[in-house]
Amino acid sequence: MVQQTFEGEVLTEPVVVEREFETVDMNINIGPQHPATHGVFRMVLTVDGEIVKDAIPYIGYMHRGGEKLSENLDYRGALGYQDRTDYLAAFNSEWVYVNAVERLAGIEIPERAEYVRLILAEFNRLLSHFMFMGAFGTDVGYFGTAFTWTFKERERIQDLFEAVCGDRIMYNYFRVGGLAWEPHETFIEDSHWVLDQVEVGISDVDELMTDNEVFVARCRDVGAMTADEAISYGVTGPMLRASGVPFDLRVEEPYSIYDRFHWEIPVGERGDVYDRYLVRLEEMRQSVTILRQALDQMPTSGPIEPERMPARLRPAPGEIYMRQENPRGEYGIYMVSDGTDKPWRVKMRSPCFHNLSSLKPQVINTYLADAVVALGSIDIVLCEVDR
Amino acid sequence: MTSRRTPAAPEEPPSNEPPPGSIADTYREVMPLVNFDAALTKGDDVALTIPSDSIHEVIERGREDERLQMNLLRNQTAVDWEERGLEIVYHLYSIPLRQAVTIKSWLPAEGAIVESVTDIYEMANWAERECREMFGIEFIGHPDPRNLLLDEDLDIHPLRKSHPLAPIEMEQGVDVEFFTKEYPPPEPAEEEAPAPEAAAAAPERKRVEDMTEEEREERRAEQAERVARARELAAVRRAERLAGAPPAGGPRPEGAAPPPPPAAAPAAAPAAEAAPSAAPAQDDRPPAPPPPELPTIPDAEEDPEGRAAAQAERVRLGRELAAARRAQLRGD
Repeated sequence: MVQQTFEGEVLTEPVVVEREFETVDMNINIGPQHPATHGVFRMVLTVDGEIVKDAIPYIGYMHRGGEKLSENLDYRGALGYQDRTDYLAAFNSEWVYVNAVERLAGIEIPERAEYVRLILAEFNRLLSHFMFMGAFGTDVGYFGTAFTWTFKERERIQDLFEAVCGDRIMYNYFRVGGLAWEPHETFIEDSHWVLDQVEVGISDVDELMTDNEVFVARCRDVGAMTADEAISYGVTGPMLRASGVPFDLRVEEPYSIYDRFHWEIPVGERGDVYDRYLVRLEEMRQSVTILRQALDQMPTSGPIEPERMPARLRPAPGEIYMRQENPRGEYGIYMVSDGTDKPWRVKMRSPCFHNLSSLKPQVINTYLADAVVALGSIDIVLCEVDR
Repeated sequence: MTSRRTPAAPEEPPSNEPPPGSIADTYREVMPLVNFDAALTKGDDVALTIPSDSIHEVIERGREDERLQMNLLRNQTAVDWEERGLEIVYHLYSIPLRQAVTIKSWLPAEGAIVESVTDIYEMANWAERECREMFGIEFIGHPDPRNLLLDEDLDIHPLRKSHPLAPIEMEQGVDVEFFTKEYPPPEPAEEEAPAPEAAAAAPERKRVEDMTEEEREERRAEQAERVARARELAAVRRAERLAGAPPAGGPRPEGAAPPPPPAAAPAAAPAAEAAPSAAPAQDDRPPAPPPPELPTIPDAEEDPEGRAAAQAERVRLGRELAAARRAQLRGD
């Protein structure tokens, strides 16, 4: 083709030389020791430029054989191990275990113990979500502020736990049949006081993060999962609810005394990281609602243990799959009894384990920086993943 | 630790039959050709036991059928019943219809093979990997059958009841000697050297509150003497470290002789009670290959080339030692 300019010059077509550049995919190893992995977790990302093409997660660095150990201990002895799985929600994990043993052995527990358990477990949910807000804020870029603000509230809840059971992380307070001992005298007043403080703390987090432009830009449409995809991966808890499925075991298969309270299940729309954050934030407010009702209804006196408890538990042969809603999702204990004083099989269904397995579809074809945010939004506890 | 007991030999006593109209009947209607043994668990779930060759079909139809809609595989695991075989368990849930069911099936203890359900639920990918490594069940059609929680090279099935807690790992080269070493019972001559004093004192041991003033004085003097002896020993050890006799802080090669006793040790021998640090019975360890003589590494400023060469030599010797140990463990 020949072009003619206004001056009459004749220009030939510019020569375009096409050269092929070979791009090489690069493997990036993240972890096992890395601040963004929230524990001992390793993933190998294959990146093309900054786009993640493949992700291979490696877990098991914290595998301690908890199921095998529980099978070699008696029913009461393995309880302390539950604190060491999900150490951010130890009360919830303990609760599932003691509930499983009680259902298996047919033990009725007093109403007051049930209330104390529920209150402590809901407080623990608050604590765990505060921890998420802090850690996730650090992932997204609030170095310091989110962490210190949320840890201030977490500290208040931990002080309450310390007053109740003498420990701040590994509580070991629930017992098969009830509780280890009475909560302290001013438990209800203290709880109300903590709730007053925590409500302000939730608003603080809300104001700090929800409308922040940078935060929204980092989180919107990152790691989005459809409802079908999430269900297929066995994702439960806030992640599943963020994808629009109102699946909460407290309502779905009500256990304990959750049918006595009124609250709402927050549900997301897009299933992305931002929705997961919003669902957790709203869940904290709903937990406060549950706690207020429970503290008002709780009997102020009464037994915390059944009158008669067998010295050695020997449940009749049978099996149970006890599942409850932990802060991270469905925590299940599958327990098989063979009639002796040790469980024949204990399987812990860890919510983080299955939530983490859905990481791969979330991070493929996204930016490398978004992969870290998607991982943070899963809210993993590696001790629970590896058990 | 071996298997602690055998399971009850007779079959499980029949659990409650699920009530009519339960999900067991729905399954029977949907799949009339499959034999369902229904039972009610302690958690009031319906457990259906099916033949192992129809697992994939039952789970797939369960997900697709309008009356079942089991769209969530919430848990998948297995139970080892020793001579009765393995029991594989699937916990399913239908979110739209709010119903739960447990699908179980019996597999032979050796050579258990199941069709993978990863094509139905993505969740089964990791669950089956875990089940495979923990119980040795092979899943046909699994896209990625690697170890998940265990080390990549390990070929063990820890949740089998026949699996003791340590020795198999040792055979495969994992160093668990630290956990499994059985120390011989303490020799009375060694352990009870200071026993006459202790034995004499033991029956008369009083609580401090009950002591008279003189006895308290005596006790304080005794403690002060013990502290002085411990300090003396510590000073000797410190001097020895500074002299550089053993490599400072570095791991001692396996089976190497304990450090030579300090010169002042005879004088401070009773103080060993106050600061017991030497591992008991070093000589009773199983025979290990003789440790190679490791070259000392010269200082970087004095002799850089020599330092590099010595380091390379140490690495080579270490590899050789590791290979020899591995060969020995395999060969035995």
